[in-house]
Amino acid sequence: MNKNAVLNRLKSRGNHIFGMTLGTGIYYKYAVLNDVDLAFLISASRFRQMGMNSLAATMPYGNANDIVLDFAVREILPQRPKIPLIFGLCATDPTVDLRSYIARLKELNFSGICNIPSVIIVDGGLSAMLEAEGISYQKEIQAIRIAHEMDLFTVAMVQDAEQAGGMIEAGCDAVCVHFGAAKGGVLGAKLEVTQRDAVKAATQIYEQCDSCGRKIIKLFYGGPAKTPPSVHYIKENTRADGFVGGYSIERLIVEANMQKGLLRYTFLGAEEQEGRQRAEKIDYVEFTKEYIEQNYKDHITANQIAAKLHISRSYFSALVSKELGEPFQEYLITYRMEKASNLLMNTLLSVGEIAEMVGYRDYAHFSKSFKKKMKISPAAYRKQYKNT
Amino acid sequence: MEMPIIRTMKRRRLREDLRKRRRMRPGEADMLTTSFEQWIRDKTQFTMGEVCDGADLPEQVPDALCLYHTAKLQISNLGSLMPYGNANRIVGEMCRELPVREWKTPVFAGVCGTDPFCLLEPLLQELICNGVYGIQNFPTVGLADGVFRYNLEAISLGFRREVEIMKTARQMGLAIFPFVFNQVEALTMAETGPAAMIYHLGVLQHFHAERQEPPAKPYLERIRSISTLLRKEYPRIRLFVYARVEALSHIIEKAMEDGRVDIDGIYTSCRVKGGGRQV
Repeated sequence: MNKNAVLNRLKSRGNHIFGMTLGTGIYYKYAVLNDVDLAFLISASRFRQMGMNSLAATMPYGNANDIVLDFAVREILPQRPKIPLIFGLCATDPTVDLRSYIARLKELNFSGICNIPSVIIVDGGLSAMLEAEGISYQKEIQAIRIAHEMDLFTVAMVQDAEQAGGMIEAGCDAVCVHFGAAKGGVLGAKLEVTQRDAVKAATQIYEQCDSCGRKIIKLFYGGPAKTPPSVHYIKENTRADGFVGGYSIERLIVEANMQKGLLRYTFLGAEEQEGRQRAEKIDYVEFTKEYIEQNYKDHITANQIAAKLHISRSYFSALVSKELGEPFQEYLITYRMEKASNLLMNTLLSVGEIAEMVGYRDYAHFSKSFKKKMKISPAAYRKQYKNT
Repeated sequence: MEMPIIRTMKRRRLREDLRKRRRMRPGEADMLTTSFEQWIRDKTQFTMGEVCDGADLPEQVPDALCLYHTAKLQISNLGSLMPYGNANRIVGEMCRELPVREWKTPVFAGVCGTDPFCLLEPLLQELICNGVYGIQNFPTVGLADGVFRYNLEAISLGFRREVEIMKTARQMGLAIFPFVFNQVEALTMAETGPAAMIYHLGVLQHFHAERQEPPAKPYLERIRSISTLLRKEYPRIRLFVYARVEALSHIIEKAMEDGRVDIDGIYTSCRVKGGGRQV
């Protein structure tokens, strides 16, 4: 699929682009079946299938480009590319000549490239020294520039606005914010950015994209963006066009189903219960997010949810504010106001009705909260942003 | 992916074989039949020669040679943690290709202990069979810091694993000469009972020789704290210090001679051409 076809395809999706990273043939089959917009072939995904966290993809356990090319040539390309294939290129690799390598990728029918694994994952002193040694982000920008010249579709992984600036200047078609490692699950790391910081970072980067004068597709990947509610949250609070699922796909789909499936085969009831409890513990925060999504119309308190999860109120609050980056109450208000502003923009319902729909019985209270959050009254908001 | 041809044998037999073979080496210095402990005992300077193609001849003759995968990839040692190749496989290949057995200088191999996709015992056996004298933990996660390092430790790709492989290597009769980067790592590594270890001053060494008042003080401070700790807990282990910047290395050497820091020696490295036939 050539670049124009990819761009047209993505255009038709509006701001609901869904990209997926994959590392095996079966993943590709399902990606095709579900008509996923972009398929990213990356070494991290392969490593996850091998039972390691994606961080292993930035370690000297194999040549990243060889790993991707190997499974792509054996498991994916013979199936004929039916959806755009993006090659995760390790641009700093000293064993490849970028120009001829990218030309070869084009011949192999890849639609585009993306700079992953990237040096942006390495931080601290090592990152500074690597840069001095010429193993730097500049080389990744150069790869994107070369691919752009060869008329390939290019996705730039970035972590800050400065990197985004360089990539946009090099001619990238899409900017994907990389939130870093993800937490939780069997393979998860420990430190990840909070949802709130993720939104902040993405907002800054997207501003850079919007101010450059041409259309840049805005995506995000990794970190807290790992379940439908959290992806939804980041999407609602930024101007993202879509999302690229990495560990989120494995975690949500494979790990969860594997666990459930295996439990069904273990006959001992006791083990089943134990397993269920373990699974629940990982998912307290996800449960909270989903609970809010389903019940925001009603009265919700932290006590209620804590009781449902059979944990103490204080533990619940601490857990939630640590994971979400803001206190429970604050998160709830943000969520409700987001919903309310959507309703204000897109419906003709009265403000009083909307207040009720998002769980406020008292109109005055709603109005006050809305003003505090959005810095504008509901009526004025509607006047300003009304769609019809 | 080809499986390395390895001779499987019981550890004790392996050790005996190792001892026998070392005696049988042509033109062998006595040193190789002695243990690493004895050999390193009176050294105050240790130069490691990295075997690679196209390097200039070193000024000083290295005490030992080492095989690092970075030499084959032709990248700086700082890039050792990047995903450019399978470090352990490359080192294995280097041992097979180079006439390691014929060199008179002992050869160390850099083993990536964190690699989760590598059975390390067969690798070590292969190294022994190819005439390798000892191993070092290279590439090591000790080079990394920040969130990257934190997460590596969290997913059990941390320094612990490197310590474990050192332990195994020692049991198999290999000499170990590990790098450590801080006090915690020094203590965990000391448990494996190395005859000597290298305190690596880290990657960040903003240091300029031209400056009148070089900021060497914090480094000396760090060396002092680590040496006091080691002397107290493990007085038998000899402590070498490695500074990547030459000027800093000289200052530390001076400090050592003046008795301002209590260490046993300075570790330096150089690159040696084509497998060090001249040494």
